[in-house]
Amino acid sequence: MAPSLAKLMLSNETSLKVLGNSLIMEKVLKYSNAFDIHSFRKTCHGIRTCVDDLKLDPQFEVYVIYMITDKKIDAAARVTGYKTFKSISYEQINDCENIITTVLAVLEMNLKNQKACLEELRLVCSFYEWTVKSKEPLETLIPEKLVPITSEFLAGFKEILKRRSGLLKVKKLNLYSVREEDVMQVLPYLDPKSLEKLQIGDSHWLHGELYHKTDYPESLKISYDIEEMTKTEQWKNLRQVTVNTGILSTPIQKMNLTNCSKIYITSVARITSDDVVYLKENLLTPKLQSCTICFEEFVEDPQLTEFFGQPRYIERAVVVFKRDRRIWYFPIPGANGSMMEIDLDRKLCLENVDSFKYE
Amino acid sequence: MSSTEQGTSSAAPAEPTTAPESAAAPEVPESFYYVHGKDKVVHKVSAGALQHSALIHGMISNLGYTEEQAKANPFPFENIDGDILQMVVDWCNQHKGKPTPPEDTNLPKQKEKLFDLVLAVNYLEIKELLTYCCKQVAMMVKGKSPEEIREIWMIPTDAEDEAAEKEAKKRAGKEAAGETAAAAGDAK
Repeated sequence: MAPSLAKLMLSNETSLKVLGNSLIMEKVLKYSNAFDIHSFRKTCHGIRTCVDDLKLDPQFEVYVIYMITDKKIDAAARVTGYKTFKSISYEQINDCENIITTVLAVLEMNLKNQKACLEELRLVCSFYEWTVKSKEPLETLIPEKLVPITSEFLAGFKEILKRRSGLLKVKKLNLYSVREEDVMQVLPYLDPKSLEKLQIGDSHWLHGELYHKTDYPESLKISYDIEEMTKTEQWKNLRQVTVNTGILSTPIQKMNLTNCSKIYITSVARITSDDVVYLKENLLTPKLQSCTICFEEFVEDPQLTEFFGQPRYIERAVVVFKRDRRIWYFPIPGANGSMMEIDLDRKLCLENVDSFKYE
Repeated sequence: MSSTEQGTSSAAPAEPTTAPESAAAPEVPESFYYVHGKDKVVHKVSAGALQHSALIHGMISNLGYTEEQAKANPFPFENIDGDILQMVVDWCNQHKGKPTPPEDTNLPKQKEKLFDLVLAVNYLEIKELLTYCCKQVAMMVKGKSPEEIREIWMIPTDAEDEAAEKEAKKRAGKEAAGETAAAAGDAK
């Protein structure tokens, strides 16, 4: 008898009777994590059908995708109750394959039955292998190679999210190296009640963050407009927002930030006295933790002293083109002695504090 | 408490003991039933131990056998190997009337035996033992790749499955053709 036939007969008699039995398999998978379930699925058709029919929640806690090049994508995930990540690398060997299709197929299979809330979903698009010094200049890499696959990937991801029976629950969404339209492919399709933290960053920011370099080509710095995403229910319910982009053109008063307790934005094109007053009035609540906004230009008209009075602390600029540092304090109503500290120099910081700085 | 008997041995029914007058309630004599597997070896098991099996418990309740009737009519489980049924009976006896512990480390370590036990326990509807067995199966595949799982449990790949099926069909076709030719020869 051929070995394959012997194997088939044995499996038909025992293995498939056990592992293809949904009642038994449900009990076995109760003690298996998502990766073991995935391994079971890949053994054979009979077991795969049995596992899929059970529609088990894989209980992913963190799911990360790094788009390293247009031909290489890494994915890593961690399951609830485990400390380590399990990662998988996808590489496109020949042109007749489509790496995006493969990655999306696995992503859909993994997230299809996810009912538990993901603590973090991180999509690092265009994570280009800058670590391995590319021979090609940066200018040719980003627009020509990375944006199209980012768009293709996120358009596919949007369809996966739309096909799910319920909105995917995610507590923290990190989208790096994305444009505003890329964010809109994901953000509106997540459960607005679960999403608490959003962190977005463009390629410029990612480049600086990874390599601590400031040599990002000026021509590639794009103006960023988040107005559309700030209108979504998901954004309005956020507790923490971090926007790391080149230059953010959206006016501060249109950013719908008043529900947030923690804000970090770098950097906005322009900030005015009215914006500072608006933030002070709307964030002066006990839930405030901190709000930091970097800016390119500050238009102080009228003077802030007209609204806030004299600052408690002034640090005179030693260089002519630099601005004086000024700090104001305002008691937060109902916060048991806590104060809002407004610290303004090259950036604007509003923070919930218990004592004065520089007493 | 349990005994293994070949064929229909004469195990005398337990005599009811006379309860002392001071006792709160008279002690009810334990009833016994008989089961056998593929090897026809009969196992005498108490009703208390058999309560673990929802299938047998249901059968007992419906039949209302007397001790003599039970002895004369052992429950046949032709689909269960004798050694596996012995394991099941032993487990039921060990856990008779006791709360089941969270772990059971006495399960077979050989993979073939474990799968046979899973199938038997699933058939006999012994919930707790099935849970232990399933947990052990899960532990045996923890962290394994699909290839390793295939190797452990002798699972063919889809390609092997297809090839083997084709081979089997081809063989069956040849055998059928041979039989037809032989029949035609006989007819002549």
